[in-house]
Amino acid sequence: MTETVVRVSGLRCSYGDFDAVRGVDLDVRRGELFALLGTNGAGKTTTMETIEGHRPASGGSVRVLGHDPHRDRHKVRSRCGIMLQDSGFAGDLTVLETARLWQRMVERASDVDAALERIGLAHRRDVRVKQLSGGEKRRLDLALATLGGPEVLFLDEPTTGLDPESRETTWQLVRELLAQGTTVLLTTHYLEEAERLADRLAIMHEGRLAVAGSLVDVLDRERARISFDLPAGVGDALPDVGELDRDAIGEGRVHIRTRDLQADLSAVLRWAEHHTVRLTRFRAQHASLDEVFRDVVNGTREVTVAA
Amino acid sequence: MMSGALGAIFRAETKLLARNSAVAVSAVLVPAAMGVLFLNADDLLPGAGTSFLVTLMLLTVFGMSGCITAAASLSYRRDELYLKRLRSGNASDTTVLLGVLSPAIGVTLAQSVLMVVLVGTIASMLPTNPLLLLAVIVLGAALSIGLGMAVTGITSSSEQAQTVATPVVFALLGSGFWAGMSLTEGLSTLQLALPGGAVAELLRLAYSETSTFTGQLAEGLPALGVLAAWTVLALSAARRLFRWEPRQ
Repeated sequence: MTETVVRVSGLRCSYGDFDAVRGVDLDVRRGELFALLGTNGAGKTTTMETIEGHRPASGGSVRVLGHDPHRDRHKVRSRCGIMLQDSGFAGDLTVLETARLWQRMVERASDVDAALERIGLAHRRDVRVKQLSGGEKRRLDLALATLGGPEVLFLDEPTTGLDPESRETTWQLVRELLAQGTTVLLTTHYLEEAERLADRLAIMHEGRLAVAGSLVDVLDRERARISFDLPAGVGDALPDVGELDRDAIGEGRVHIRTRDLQADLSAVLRWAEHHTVRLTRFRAQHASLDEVFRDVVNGTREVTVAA
Repeated sequence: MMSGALGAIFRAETKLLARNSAVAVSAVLVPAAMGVLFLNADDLLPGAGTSFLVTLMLLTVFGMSGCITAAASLSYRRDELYLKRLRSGNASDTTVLLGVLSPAIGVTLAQSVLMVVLVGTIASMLPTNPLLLLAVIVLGAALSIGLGMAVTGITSSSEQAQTVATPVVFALLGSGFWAGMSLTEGLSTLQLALPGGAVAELLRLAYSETSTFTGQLAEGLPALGVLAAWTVLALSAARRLFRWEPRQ
């Protein structure tokens, strides 16, 4: 029922004898925002640029709107908007000249003035691009990528180097585009960005997708945590739920990892009532994307979730 | 329309050339000044004939406006990732390349014509065979821009590209100068086999007053073949060596 706009299977990319991407599978469905997370050097940009058609895949296959984005670039590009990790502006052109050049390059009907207005750069239109701040350059870049309303939008770290306010402006624009039906593939190393925008996400590590799925799926597979100070006088009679962290007990703290937060939390409360102890600094929390991310990067645990 | 993209890149490049005084000076002013200098140096190589002045003027234009400008602007655009950005749009690689090279191509052709006009008005010397002259200008421009493009493939900055392009330019000029020393008694095979020698020989014929139009063409065939071969060589080197992105 839902159309797949980007289909990547078994993607491999090598530079000489270095394998930057080592077998990536991902699908992006029409109208969703798919976020590709990962540390620097994980292979996000290489994956992204191969999907954009900047280079051929060393192995596997990539289809964007049903075409090979490298071989049939002209069939795909007119329907795509691309924001590269590095803007690649000619510093001596003004903002308006840059936007007008880009209007010709994308060959879609578009309104340059409205685009600059929307991104808050209308008053800077006659300034040379090299005089813009880093955040202004990034916003101009976003305005160009979205010029003429592309069907598919590729954003490679769109908010890196932006202040919180500009980041919020960017997210607002991306949400508007999603509401209009645009399909977005985005890379980021801000977990908050993925949590706020993504329908589905994947965490990339050392050239592979370590975790992929919907935000809820990904978080669900990671265990939730219950913690409280070790009450005096309970001895070894600790609640028999989840997985206990023995090291923390030595430090006077009870840490429980659980896959069933609701049931295990009830059990802990019953245990406390039974022993008539009051739990201090009592905390129960769902896993955060941050924890999933850290686990992947530290390689402490294999996490596999169906995409 | 592709021509829309080509025109837009051309306009942007022209503005950028005008705004970057260093490039504008080396592309436009220096070759023009050197050309005028050669025009007043009639005794530079006595006996070589006045067509030799045109040779030196055109080789200077090919080297400075063609080779060095192409090498400098392409590598600069590559390093600031502007080429990569242009390739993210809807235009083909050929359109992007032609657009970015258009100032180098335009300035080289315009300067060549300017030199011919200068020689015509100041030295009152007009080509008797404009077809051979045209062939020299077109092939020379393609050869020198191809060389400039090839140079960018083996260098990693705009400054480096200009440095590496300079000896290439001297080789072009030097081979022309060497040929000039034997122009009256006829070039040796080696002299003729070099690009500067081929240009000198073709221009000698283009300005010669002793031969018929078809005679000039027939006599010019070997030199034309040499120049065409060097052009093909330069363009295939450009194709092999050119990179769209800086080294990783």
